[in-house]
Amino acid sequence: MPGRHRESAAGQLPLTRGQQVRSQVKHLLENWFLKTCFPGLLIRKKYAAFLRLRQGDRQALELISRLEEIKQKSLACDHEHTSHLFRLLDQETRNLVEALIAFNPLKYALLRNYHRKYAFYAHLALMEDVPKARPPYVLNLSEELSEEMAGGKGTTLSTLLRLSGFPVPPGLVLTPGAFYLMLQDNRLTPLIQAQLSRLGPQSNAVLYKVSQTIQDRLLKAEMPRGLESEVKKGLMQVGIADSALALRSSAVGEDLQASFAGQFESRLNVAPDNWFEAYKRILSSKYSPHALNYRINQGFTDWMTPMAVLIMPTIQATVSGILYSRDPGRPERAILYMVSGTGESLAGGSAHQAFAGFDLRRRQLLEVDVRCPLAPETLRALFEKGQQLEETFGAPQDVEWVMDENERIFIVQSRPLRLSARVSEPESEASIDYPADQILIRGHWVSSGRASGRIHKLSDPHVISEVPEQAVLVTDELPPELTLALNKVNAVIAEKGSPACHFASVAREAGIPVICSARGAMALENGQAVSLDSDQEVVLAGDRFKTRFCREEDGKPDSPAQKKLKAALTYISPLSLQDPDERDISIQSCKSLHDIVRYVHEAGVREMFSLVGRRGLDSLGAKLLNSGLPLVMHVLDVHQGLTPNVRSGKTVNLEQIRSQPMQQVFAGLAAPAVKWDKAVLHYDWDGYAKSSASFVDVEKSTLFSSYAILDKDYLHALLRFGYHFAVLDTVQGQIAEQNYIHFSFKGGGGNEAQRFLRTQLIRTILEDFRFNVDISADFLEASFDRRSLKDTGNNLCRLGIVLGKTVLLDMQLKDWEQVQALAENIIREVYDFLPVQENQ
Amino acid sequence: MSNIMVLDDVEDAGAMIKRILERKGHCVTVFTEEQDALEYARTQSTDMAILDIKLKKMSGVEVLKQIKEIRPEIEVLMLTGYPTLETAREAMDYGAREYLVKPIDKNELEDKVHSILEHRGGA
Repeated sequence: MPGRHRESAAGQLPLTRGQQVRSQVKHLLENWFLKTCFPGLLIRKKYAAFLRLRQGDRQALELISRLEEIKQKSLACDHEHTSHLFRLLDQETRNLVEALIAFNPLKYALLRNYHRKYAFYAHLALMEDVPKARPPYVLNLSEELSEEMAGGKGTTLSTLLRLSGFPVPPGLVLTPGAFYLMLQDNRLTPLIQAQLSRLGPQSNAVLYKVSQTIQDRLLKAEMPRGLESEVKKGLMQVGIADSALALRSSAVGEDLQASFAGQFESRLNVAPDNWFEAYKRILSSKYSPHALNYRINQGFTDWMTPMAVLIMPTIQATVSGILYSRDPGRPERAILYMVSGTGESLAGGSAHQAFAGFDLRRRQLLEVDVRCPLAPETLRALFEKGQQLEETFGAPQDVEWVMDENERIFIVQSRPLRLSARVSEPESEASIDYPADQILIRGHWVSSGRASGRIHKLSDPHVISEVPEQAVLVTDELPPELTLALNKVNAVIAEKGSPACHFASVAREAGIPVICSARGAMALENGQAVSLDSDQEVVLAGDRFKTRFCREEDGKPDSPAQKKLKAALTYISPLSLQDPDERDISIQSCKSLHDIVRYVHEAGVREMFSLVGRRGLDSLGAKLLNSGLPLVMHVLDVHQGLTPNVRSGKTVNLEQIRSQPMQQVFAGLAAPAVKWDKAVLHYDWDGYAKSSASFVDVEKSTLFSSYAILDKDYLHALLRFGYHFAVLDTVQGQIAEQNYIHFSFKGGGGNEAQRFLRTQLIRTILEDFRFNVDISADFLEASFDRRSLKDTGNNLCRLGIVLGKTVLLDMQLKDWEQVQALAENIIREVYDFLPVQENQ
Repeated sequence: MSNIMVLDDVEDAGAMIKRILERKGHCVTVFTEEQDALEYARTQSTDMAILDIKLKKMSGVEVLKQIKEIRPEIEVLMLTGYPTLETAREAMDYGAREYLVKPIDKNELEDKVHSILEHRGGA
């Protein structure tokens, strides 16, 4: 089709053949022009690209390791943060690929396609469906509703409303669609995503700020058009248009996959005209510090838990309570907790409650508290309802109920109850009799387990970020904000509170031992070592239990966010180019972003190694080096290779060289073991002899001299010592991973056998210094990679000695035995000058 | 052995896929024209279609839609050199099972085709 680009089989850029040829010709001409007319400019251009590679390489590897760490340690962080790290990695890798392509567009352009491929797969794995605001926005609770339409609580209540025999108040559901509509109309999605991306591991310090920013914006949000009339119409239809309203959260995922107990707000006694303000309060409670913390710890993403809100009449409660259809500590019985008035103080963990137990086998009441305001028949009826709910939903239930002034009982919530059976260490299954003198305090069971630690008394729940790791937290009450500390503490002891509070559910979910009603706990000393056995309901002196052992993390299935990251990492982290032999690695063998980063590094180093042609330094503006040694060498500074005082002039002294690797090599060349014959000047003898340039002044010209391209931590040197020809390319800096020495050596005087023996000599010596050495005919390649600044520096110095020594051995080598003996001598001399370090 | 059709406007790409999959014992028919491929899907027994996104007259997603209308049981693997998340989502919404991004890697192609056919067998 005319004007339409076609893809090639390899998925390359959609250039026409003509465009491709033009681009190739342009690159070749540009390089030829630079090389011929401005070789210095070409080198600087390449070096700048090389520097970008080195910086990018480091950053990309750091990002990969941060993503791997999140997965391996199951670190709690928002999925937006993980996605943000990945986007940075994608960008960094893209920059690396482009920097390499700048070296040689023809050779490396295909790498773009491999980057695009693996980055796309990883994006796809991390991607979430960001839902669009779609009606219905308001539904009647009595309809058949799914969790996607009504959230967890809404679904449960709609099921109960449609079954006979369960007293549930009528109501409306503002669907997750309405929540998205709020975000969309008020353009809040980008803000929320940007804020959540700040919630990485250990981000307690920013948690409050992030929460406040999102909540402030949500509370200022405006009403989406049309929502008001839909809600008013709905309230009329269900007959509560003139009632005092109760608005309750009903997040998707809440109550079903995780309890989210007490994480979100409810608003009671809301005038019908004020429903929108109350609605915004509930939506914003999705982003409270403790709700964010809870969701992130459960491994849910923000989009997986959109918020639906229920609007029901406020029931003027005389008694409210919580019914566990099975006592989490003793599953053979059911238990009820209750308070006068509304249930907020009970669920909020601050009330002293009355309780009643029910024997499930005998179907009879047990242990009815003297403070219990309900008649025995009401209690029994409630317990029976609990059993019906358990049968309906097929699992033990945690039921919130209220009784109005007409003594009618309503169920306002029922969620699966997490049964954390009392756990004991295997060797002590029977009840343990702790010596009375070791028991500091007694309390009531809330969540099972045993743990030790040092006391941290929390007088103000708002300074929860200061709770130290592994502490035993002592509090007055058990408010939901305490969930913020759950991933840090070993145990919790409260003076008040209740096993029926929201925090208790979350603690049981997390497997943290907790007791309540521990009178006198706040009198314990900060820092005091104590142990809690919550099944025995005692706090003991000292550090008795080595580890908290009720944790359920081992073998726990991956959370949704972890699954996404795990899938993405299969395209990010595997390294198939494990030990890349330079000649074997190819673009096609890249199977992950990590491979691409590694490939770019190796290829970049290779490009630098062949930086300048043999005759390339002529018009570079290089300076002649006065080294005090009889060798002709020119140096070219590409960044910070010389001290700043060197600006003009055609010569430079060794002291003015700032390049660390250059200094190391010269320290070796000038070592006492190298006996220079001052009468012989070293330059390219062979080249000089073959050329007709007898008029050239070999002491000044770059034509036959050695040269070095310098930066502070970089050296690229072409060494022409007599008949020898060596290339040295090295980085010696603070970051061991980036350091390398690549060295190649060819030629020398003598016949073929002598040249072979010389390369064998150098090989024997360099292998002793831990270089990897390859030989093909009389061409030797050696490398020493990813070692510390010091190790790299020492080997550069040793290499300098070896270079100096071997220059002077040109014609002398006769046989293998002589090579062995000479190698041993040289190695000894080198170690005398620079002893081997322990860590080498 | 399964019957697989491949639709790619670049003949070489189709030929390469054919070569790889035939070595695995599949029967592979390659098309460069959309209508020919749709006609084939309509008339011949086909287990799987491999569709390039960029075609001559239609997009691969449109072809996917039509194939699913003709024969919903045909499994589809989408192929592209210029992937976008939007197209991927759209293709998945229309029932594509997998996504393969060029450059084509032999092992990856074999693995994806194998797992799709295995899923089909198990379903």
